[in-house]
Amino acid sequence: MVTALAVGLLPAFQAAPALAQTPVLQPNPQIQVEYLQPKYNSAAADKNQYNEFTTIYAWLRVRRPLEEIQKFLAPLRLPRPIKIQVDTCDAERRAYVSGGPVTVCYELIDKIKKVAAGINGNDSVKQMVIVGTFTQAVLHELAYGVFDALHVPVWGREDDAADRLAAFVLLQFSGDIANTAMVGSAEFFLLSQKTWTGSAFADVGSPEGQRFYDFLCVAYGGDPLDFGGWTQAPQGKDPLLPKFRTDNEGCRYEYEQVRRAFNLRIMPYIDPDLLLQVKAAPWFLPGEVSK
Amino acid sequence: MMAALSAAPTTAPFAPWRRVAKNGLRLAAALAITLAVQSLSQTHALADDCVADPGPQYQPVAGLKNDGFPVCYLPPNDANKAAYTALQSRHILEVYSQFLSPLRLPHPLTLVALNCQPNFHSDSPFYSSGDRALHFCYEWYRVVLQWAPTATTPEGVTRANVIAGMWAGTLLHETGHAMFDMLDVPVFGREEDAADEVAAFVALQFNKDVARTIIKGFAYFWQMAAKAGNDPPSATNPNPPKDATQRCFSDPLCAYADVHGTASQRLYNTLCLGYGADRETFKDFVQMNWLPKARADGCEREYQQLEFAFIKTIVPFIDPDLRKKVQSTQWLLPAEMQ
Repeated sequence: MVTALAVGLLPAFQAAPALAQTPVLQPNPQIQVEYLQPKYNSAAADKNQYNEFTTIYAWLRVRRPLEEIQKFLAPLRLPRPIKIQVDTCDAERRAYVSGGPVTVCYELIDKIKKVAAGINGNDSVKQMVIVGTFTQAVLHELAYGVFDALHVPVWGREDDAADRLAAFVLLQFSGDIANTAMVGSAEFFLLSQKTWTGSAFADVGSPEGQRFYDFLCVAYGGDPLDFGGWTQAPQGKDPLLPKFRTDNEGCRYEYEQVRRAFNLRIMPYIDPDLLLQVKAAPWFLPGEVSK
Repeated sequence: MMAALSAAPTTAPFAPWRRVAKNGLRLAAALAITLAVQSLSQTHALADDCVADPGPQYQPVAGLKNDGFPVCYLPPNDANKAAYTALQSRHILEVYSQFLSPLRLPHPLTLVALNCQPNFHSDSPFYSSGDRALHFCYEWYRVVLQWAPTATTPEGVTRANVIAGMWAGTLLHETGHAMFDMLDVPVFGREEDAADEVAAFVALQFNKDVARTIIKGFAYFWQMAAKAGNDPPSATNPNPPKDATQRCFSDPLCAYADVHGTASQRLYNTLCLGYGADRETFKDFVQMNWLPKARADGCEREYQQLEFAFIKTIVPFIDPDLRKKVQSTQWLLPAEMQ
């Protein structure tokens, strides 16, 4: 059973009060959500991890982020239901199976939480990493379901396509929201980067470094004013986004490429009036967004 | 603000098949202005500058005619004469022009062989939407020869496989960029991976010998590139290069800013699509653990996803009768497929 105390055990989540500024939008009836109770993996015998998952479960039941996603996706007309669930996966990701639910794993949320906890001092950055990355992770996983349900032809690796679609969607919102999501996610990729060698590159997912630059590039390409600082070189240092990636409006091209693909293959399934309502709604809580 | 980049080591940047210059301005910006002007002029006045075929004249395959793919060999410099001779005597561009004949593009796509150094600062072929041309660098021929094995590898890859596979793979990869551009194909993933997918998918539409030659040759090249240190480095170089791009490519994080996948990613993506298309023909990839089983298990789905994308976005622009004829034509020489 969820208790307020359990929520309070997670310092990085403390900034999130129990009630969100819930938009007046109705939830998308084709989006189903479920928070599955964490499962205790006796083989792993990691009682601490189970406890962490239980704390996350408690927070999810209070903050109810997936219910907000249901409303966020109100404009999307789907030909069949898509279920989003949070579950124990024994891995950070669970591969999507056509027609099945999309899953955000407790293991990934736990990792997001731990990465954020490792940030020294800056609570607002911690919050951006948690809120931004969680939102990105849900949209990333959801992209698989949308590609499947709408029969979207996907060129390139699907995991990168899911990243680019998630980044594009997040950039359509107000500066605070876009900034929180993009900076939080990029910071997460940066801080969770590990060394990839040899057959590790056979993974269907891309290295954190690649995802980091893809996010930065799409963000800068979509909004060079808000994210232009990433192309500025501090004295004696290199810019965060290297010049060769941004040269010749390369990032603008990447952003436009996703925008064109979205307009052609997904926009026909978007209700334009509801879209405006979604864009006008305040999605994050005051303490969750970066000003 | 994110953490600043740490600067690092020095290996030469390896950017095979640079990303497309997407319009005239981008192309011009990719070069020194004067050189760009010269280059564009060259393309526009292509017919005047092309080297006349010294013979023996190309004998075209009957029934495969499409004026949409003009070819041009620009004069090679001294260093590239051998490459020019090899390409021209094999009639690589003429053959490829005919190979593309089923493809209905809204504009002509010029196939140009040229000296890429020093104008383009790279040996890598590229497509440019500014002049709607596939630029094939003579220097690339030397790169492929240099990296092709001198003896058959444990994976059963021959020198001829790699040369033929890389030629075909490179041309098809750049044609992928051209199709994405001219046909306004929706690309949700990274375009360079998508262009590799075009190359692999087209190769897999031919008989098993052709498919194995191109897939193996293509994959081997990326394996060699990875072994030569072209995956992102795992350690920071205490003596970073002065050139900003080289400095980035030698940094464990910044190297990932490349729009191309890593050499190892391109190796595994290629192997996976082969295995996903035809498990029986490519089962040795898994048996010898060239393709890890964990990836192999999902390759059929990856191939099906690619097939679906090709059918939805490219096939409407392909003449079905000419496609059948192309698929039944022998494009590679027997020696190239051994």
